[in-house]
Amino acid sequence: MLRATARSDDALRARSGLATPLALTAATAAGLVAWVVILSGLDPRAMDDRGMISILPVSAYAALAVIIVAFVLTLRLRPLPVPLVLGELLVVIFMLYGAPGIIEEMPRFVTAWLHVGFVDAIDATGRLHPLRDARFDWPGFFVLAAFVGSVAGVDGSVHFLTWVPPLQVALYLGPLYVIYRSASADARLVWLAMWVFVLANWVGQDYFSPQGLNVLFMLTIFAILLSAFRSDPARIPARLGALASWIQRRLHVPLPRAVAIDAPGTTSGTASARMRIGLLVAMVLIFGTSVASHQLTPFAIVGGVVGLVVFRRLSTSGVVPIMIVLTGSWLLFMATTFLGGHLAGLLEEVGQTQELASAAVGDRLGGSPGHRFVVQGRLLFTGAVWFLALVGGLRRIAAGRLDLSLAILAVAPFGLILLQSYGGEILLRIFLFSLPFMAFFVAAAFLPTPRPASWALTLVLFLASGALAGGLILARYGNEKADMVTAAEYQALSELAAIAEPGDRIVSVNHNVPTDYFEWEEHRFGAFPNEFALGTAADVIGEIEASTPEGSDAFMVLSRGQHAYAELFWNLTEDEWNERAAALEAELPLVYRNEDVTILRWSRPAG
Amino acid sequence: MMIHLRRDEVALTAIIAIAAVLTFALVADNLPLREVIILAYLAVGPGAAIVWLARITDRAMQLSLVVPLSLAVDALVATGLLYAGIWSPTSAFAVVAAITLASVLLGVRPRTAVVPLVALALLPPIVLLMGQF
Repeated sequence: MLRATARSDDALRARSGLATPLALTAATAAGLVAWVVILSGLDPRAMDDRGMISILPVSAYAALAVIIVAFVLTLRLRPLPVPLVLGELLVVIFMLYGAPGIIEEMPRFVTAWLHVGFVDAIDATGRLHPLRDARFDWPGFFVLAAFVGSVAGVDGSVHFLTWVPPLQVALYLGPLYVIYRSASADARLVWLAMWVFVLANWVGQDYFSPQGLNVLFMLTIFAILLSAFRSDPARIPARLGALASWIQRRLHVPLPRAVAIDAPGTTSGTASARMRIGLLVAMVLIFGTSVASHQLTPFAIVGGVVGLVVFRRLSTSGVVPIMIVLTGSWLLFMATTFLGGHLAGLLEEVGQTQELASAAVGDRLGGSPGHRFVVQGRLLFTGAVWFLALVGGLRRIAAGRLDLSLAILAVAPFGLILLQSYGGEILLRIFLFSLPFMAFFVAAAFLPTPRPASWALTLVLFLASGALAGGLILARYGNEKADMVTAAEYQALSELAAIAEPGDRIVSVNHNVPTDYFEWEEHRFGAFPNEFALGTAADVIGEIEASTPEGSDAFMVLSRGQHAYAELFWNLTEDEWNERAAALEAELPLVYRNEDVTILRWSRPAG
Repeated sequence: MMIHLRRDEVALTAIIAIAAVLTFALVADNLPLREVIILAYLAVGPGAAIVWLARITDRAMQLSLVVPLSLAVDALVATGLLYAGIWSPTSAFAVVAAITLASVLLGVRPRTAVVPLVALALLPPIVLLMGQF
């Protein structure tokens, strides 16, 4: 066996001169160009309630397949050409995470637009607005964006939103590399794990949001801890040794000489005292920013760190009290508006009622048939990733390595389920927080193998990558019909901003309309989903009247995006929508209409 | 010794060059690529300076830290000023620039030439700060 491996390795080395990397680079470039050309010709309005997969032609999947082929062939090369493999990862990030930017007219996802509204409000007023939205009690991200946008002179734009997800995922690669490298010296396994992360990150929290940036913070903190503050590798306790033997017997694999906990991967040499102090300071600064910018991520970080300390995987436990004090102090002294208003409900949910794309997975099993298909796809995808991670973890143990640190960090986020329901979206967040560590074990389900040059392995990696990439498009862009924003919607809402006076109320059927982006600080917003979907026009108007202050008007916005949302999530048919919209139009005067938006005005009746 | 000398010289040259370009970028509204210069500085400057100060030698760790650490410093400074009742992006920028320059200078071994260079390098943020208050 060993001789065979050595022979095939030599063969690979001989064949992997300059010609092969050049050919693979050319293939990657060709796949990228084809993808951009094909996607630019697509009509986003043709999407049905299965989202992006409903309009992607076979040729687009072929372009994606070219990149996947290039990547799995690159993994066969000895030594692994790092610039090429990094380039392929960046290209696939651009293709998968930048796809909406190529297909659609405007940046997607109304919550991202709302966040720009928050940023503009801070810039315009110079203060926070926690009484209007709890997210202002954790303002670090919004203040950062307001500061950077203002000083660079790029504030007031939304067009950058399109490129935030690919940029942010590309930034995740650095700390991911450091984390994976800490567990394995096998470069192919490390890069495959990064590839898996990119192909499996379907939950879409990498848009312009506090949580997107906080994932980068979380990964950086764990990268520091796992490389500079790890404890020495330990021998496995007898009970775990028995587990390893059981796995080995079941899988019929040869017994390893010994099983080691957290055997080191590529080490970067011993960190000097100065470096360790520097890294500790960096970690505290980054964690402090996380505490000031997101409600949930600090808890995920603390949970992971406590897990590492309990299992004695860190050389220092001093970070735990620092982190707990910082998190607790912010909650007690800074998030006072939130605590004052929500203390009773704290254990129930944080109350991000406007987080549209992230309702409870259970609730999402409703909706239109196409949407139910997407939801089932997401559950299957999530289950498959977790199952492969389990297989990978068992394979590692059978090979004599228990990656306890990564296993702890993969499992720790499940503890968040006890903390709060987080508006029902906690399962998505658990997937997100655990994925970086799960991805390592998914990669370990395939690598290493006794015969690294085997074509069967290359074929399996191609098929698995293809399944993940296809699954990502289905799961991530399954709500795309509702998530996209059109130029006509943008145009209509710009008109509304010009018409509406400060203090006027802006109402809609649901929140899937980027009204809040426009002059957020000057208006109050509301949505009446129940009255619209289940009641009558009179019910909607009654709610408008009750919620609009004296002396102000209200504008009712009916838009394509809200319609798509109602179709996906409430299974409201086109006829039902049109009938309800017509009933409102019969009662309220029209102030603006284009192909996607109708704006009606409500004024308080005289007397 | 040679290596340290080169390290210091490179750092000091970089400080002066960056301080000059930034001051110019802030003052000249119509400078080409002004946005890119300022965004790039805020995204990598403070983190790179702290990485330099801590003498983190591992390349992968350096690259991983620079952006998140820069954004953390930017966010903490801007948020701190906002909670202190000062919403002034230019002041926040001046503080970030001062932290960055101070970190680079602290990472340089003590030399006689440092003193005048410190004064020169710290001038732009001080001028900007004085203009704000």
